[in-house]
Amino acid sequence: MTIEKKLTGTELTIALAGRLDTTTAPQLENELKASLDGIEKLVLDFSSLDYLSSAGLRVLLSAQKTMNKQGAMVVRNVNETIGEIFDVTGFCDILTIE
Amino acid sequence: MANGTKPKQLNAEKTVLYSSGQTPPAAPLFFSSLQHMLLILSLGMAMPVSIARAAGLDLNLSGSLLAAALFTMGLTGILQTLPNRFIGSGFQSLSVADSAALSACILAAEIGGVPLVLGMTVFSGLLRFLLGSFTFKLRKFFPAEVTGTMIFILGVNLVPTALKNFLGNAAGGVYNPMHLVVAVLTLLFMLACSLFLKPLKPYTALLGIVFGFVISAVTGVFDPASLAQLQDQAIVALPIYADLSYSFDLRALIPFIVVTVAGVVDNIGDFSASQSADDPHFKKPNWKSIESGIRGNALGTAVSGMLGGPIQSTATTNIGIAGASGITSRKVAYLACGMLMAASFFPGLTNVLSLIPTPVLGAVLLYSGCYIMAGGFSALTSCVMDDRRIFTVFLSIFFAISTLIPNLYSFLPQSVSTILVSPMVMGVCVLLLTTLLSRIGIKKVFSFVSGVSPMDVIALNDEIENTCKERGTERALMRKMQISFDSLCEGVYEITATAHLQFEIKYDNQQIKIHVESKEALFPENAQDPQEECSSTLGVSLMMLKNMFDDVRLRVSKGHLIIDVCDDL
Repeated sequence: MTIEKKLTGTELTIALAGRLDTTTAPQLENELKASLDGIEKLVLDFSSLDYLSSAGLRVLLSAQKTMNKQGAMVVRNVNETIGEIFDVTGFCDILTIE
Repeated sequence: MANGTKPKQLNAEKTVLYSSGQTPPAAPLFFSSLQHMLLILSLGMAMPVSIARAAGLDLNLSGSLLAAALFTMGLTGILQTLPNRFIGSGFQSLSVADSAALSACILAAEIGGVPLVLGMTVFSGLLRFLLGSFTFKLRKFFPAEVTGTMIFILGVNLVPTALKNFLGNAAGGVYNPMHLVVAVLTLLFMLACSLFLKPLKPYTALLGIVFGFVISAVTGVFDPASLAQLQDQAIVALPIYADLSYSFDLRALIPFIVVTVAGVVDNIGDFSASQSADDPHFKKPNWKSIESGIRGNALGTAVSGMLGGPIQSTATTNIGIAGASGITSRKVAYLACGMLMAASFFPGLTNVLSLIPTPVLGAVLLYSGCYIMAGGFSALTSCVMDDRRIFTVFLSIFFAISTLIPNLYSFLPQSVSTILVSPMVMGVCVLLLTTLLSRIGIKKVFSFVSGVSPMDVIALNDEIENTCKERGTERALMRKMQISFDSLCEGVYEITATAHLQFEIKYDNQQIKIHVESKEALFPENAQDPQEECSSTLGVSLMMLKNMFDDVRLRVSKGHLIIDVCDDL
């Protein structure tokens, strides 16, 4: 999985490409730990993300908890597969998805 | 986009402007109510007109039958909408004459005239009241393939009446080509409204009737001078059928039972839709509300029969309009129903409708019949069509259509053929028989063991898909199982990469029961609650399981993770 970051003031956009699963979730987790200080809005761009597993959901949940204290988090451009996972698991009620 | 797939719109909030308990301001309240009232007028009058024709009623009696239909549609709409624990769903739910019941009503009219139609309508209401109180338990005996086929066959049942009216030889006699011209032009006009004038689509039937009147007058099929007989009518009259009496006949019993059961299934869908229209976060229907709504509809139907009105159905199109407009207030339903009931006191309006030319009525029936059949198809396409379902569905349709072939069943005694030889009765009898037979030899329990590595998960998904195909399980349930078991394996993999999970999937007619047990100990021997002991990925996967299925129980026994899942089929 590749991670691209773009910082505009206090807004951080992270674009993921590939799969977010057990093997790649720690990579995103480390990246978020290193980058979230001082960020008021976190945008996760999933336009190139193919698949998301529960390990990935765990990282998103953790990031959501952090951003609830310091600002907001938004997930954008989910594909049908990931959208279905969010719908079926109830994560669409927990995360802000655009 | 990755994989070329489009982004999905999520959290696209449905907008409810005025919900069920709120009162809109005067202007939206009035115009929304007027729109609903005109829709009901458009959709609901073809059926009582057809009954009046089948029974050979004169203008006065036809008019009073239509007036009773208008009044009772309004009354039933109020009963269905009431926020009462026992009667009424609490959501905006208007009522319309049940066009799917038309063929049964025409049969009754031909056998025993209007008294039999009214008697069987009361019977249908009482039966629906009984069924409505056990809807949650009973619905499981009518899965999508059974109800979809029943609804489709109801459309087939309309074919003889619709086409005889359409071709202009409903009453026998000499064929008149102008009848066909009027019928075709009216049907084309209605199709044009539906396809090219989308905002007018809900009013197509009403517009088609108006258009048909005009074309009929131009071609000479309808004589405008016949409107003069309306001048002698009273301006105001009680909206009750002028010649009330009731009868009951066993020959009409099975068709009306079929129509009632199909109507209850239809009600379930419509009351669920009305709940969904009122709640942006709708997840699962409230069954108590649905059962109370069905009882409201049933009471309305029974009273309708007593006053000369038709079998009532929930007005699906109106629910769609409410959802689209965001105005789901109960007050709108009350006002629209009040308008209908008020209009019923003016016989001039209903008597005009009773003069609908025969070919125009045929065009309207054809148009309606297409949508009834489409409703059945829609339910059928939600099923996975395995071999058992193919034979269940299409054998019954074969036999339903076979009853339209003249003299095919002439070998049967007259007393049997009168009941059995109709698309509805024959089709539903074969449907129920093949449904029972298709249960023979069907496997009920599937057991397998899976590793938890990413490679093992691929094989696990295939195993789940094969299991679901063999049982004809709906795709949505199959995907829930695949997503939840994928995540469970991933969670266990983070604890022990070489662990194995034992799966047992058990089906009965009503539920799926899944038992999952880890073959190896994953937790300390004295652990009790898996959600306290597990890594956070497993915690997320267990949370997903609980969100996705109706009943999920988790425990740890001697360090082994044990999960029991139960979900309605």
